[in-house]
Amino acid sequence: MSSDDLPASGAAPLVARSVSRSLGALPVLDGIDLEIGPGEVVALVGPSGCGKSTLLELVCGLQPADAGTVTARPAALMPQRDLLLPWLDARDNVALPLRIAGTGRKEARGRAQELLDHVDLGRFARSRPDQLSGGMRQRVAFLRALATDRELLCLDEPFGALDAITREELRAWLARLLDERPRGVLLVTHDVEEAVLLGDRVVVLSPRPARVTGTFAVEGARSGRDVADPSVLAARTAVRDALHDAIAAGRGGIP
Amino acid sequence: MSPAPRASRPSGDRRPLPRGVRVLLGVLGPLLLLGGWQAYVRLADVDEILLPAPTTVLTALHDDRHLLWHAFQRTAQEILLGLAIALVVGALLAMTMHLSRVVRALLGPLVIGTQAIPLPVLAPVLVFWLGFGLAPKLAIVAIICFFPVTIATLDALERVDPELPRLLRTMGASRLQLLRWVELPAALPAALSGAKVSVAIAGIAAIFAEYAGYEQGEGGLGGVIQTAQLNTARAFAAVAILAVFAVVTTGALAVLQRLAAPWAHSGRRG
Repeated sequence: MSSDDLPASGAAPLVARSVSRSLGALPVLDGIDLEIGPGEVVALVGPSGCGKSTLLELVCGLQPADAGTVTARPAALMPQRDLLLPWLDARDNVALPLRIAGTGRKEARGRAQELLDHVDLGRFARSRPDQLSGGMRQRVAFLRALATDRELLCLDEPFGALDAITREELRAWLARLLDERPRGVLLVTHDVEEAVLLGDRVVVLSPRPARVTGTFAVEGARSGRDVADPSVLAARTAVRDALHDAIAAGRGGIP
Repeated sequence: MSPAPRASRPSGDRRPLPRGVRVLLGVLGPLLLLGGWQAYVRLADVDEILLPAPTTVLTALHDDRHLLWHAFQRTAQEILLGLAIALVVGALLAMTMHLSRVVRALLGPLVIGTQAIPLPVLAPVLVFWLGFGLAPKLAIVAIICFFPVTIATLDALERVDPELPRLLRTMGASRLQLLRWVELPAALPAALSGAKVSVAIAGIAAIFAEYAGYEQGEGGLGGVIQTAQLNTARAFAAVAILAVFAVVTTGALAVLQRLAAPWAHSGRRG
């Protein structure tokens, strides 16, 4: 039961086996099994308050598991609120994890600038977060997670704080970027559409204490997907049904 | 004299006034006060040993300019150095109290307690310990001035988003790195805000310190006031210099704050 056992490089960035966790007397996670392969995007959906965030913290090493094992590569976290440092410009915010890992200022800035240029945000490199729009800040926050070259990214409702139009735009942007630079991704969301548009697999959790009630594969390249695709539609219906069943079961079996 | 700007905006508009208008009004306020004061002294035929007219003070400013300039340099030194010490000590104290709950519990009541000590009690003790030179003056100014700095800095540190340290921990940040990337930048503008609050009381503290530890010829503006006796205009001239100096120092601190922490001053959008 540790979160810092490192699997060999090239192995699955995340393997969680029968993970349980209680907060005080409250059981939050109940025997979760979860695996993310290299470059695989796994979307985690569940009713609100089901323990998604606790699972994410376990994976990021912010909390220990009470039982079971979490074997995870060091993860880069992208929180729901961008949490950019207001005193750093976009470039230095992207470079922050590199600086903390001990990279020199010049090299870290160079790599951050490269990333910003790659997504056409180069001209905002010297703008502070308060000079950027919400969508722009969220992009910078994602680049910050990407900057580390960590094999596992944890995205905690990354678009939850954005308006609908910006969210759609950013979803397409993220899909493209993840196809270009594949990483193992654990995407926590309560938006079924977002899950099936971005995930290779969608894992449905039950209400607290969370158990995995179903796993659904979504076919095809992320960047080509559209809500109207038959496979996406089918996956969305399946995930939504599974989610409703899980919630109904949590209420004591009343559908 | 320029006419007052017309009230053309709807009430409740909190946009800042244009810079020129602001400066003009800032000058106009004191001028109105001085005008009223001048009229009162002249019309009511007030004894100028009690309350000299502004024009009399102006004459004193001119006549005693060498004496006042010499005294001002001494007092300004005490105020600026004392403030600098207060800024550093106050910020360090806040940092330590923030980092250690034990230190916080230990020093919290003491820090507040120091602010309750009346200057007339404190000053002679410090003069006794530190002699009549610059040291006791700096100590008095710093003791009076560190408090707003500590409180403002501590407050800013407490208000740091708790999610930030967690995020940095996932990046593998050490306690020291957390301090360097999050807490120090968060504390900096607050510490300077605290120092701005301290400027005015720094002047009072310096004058008092000079009263308590009066040195012949090196008494600063406090010495000038103390030895002015019936030359009330000279004492008022010293006070006028102090007041102008407080305004200028506050302005300089505001500029410093803008330069050191530009993120704390821009409007948000998006």
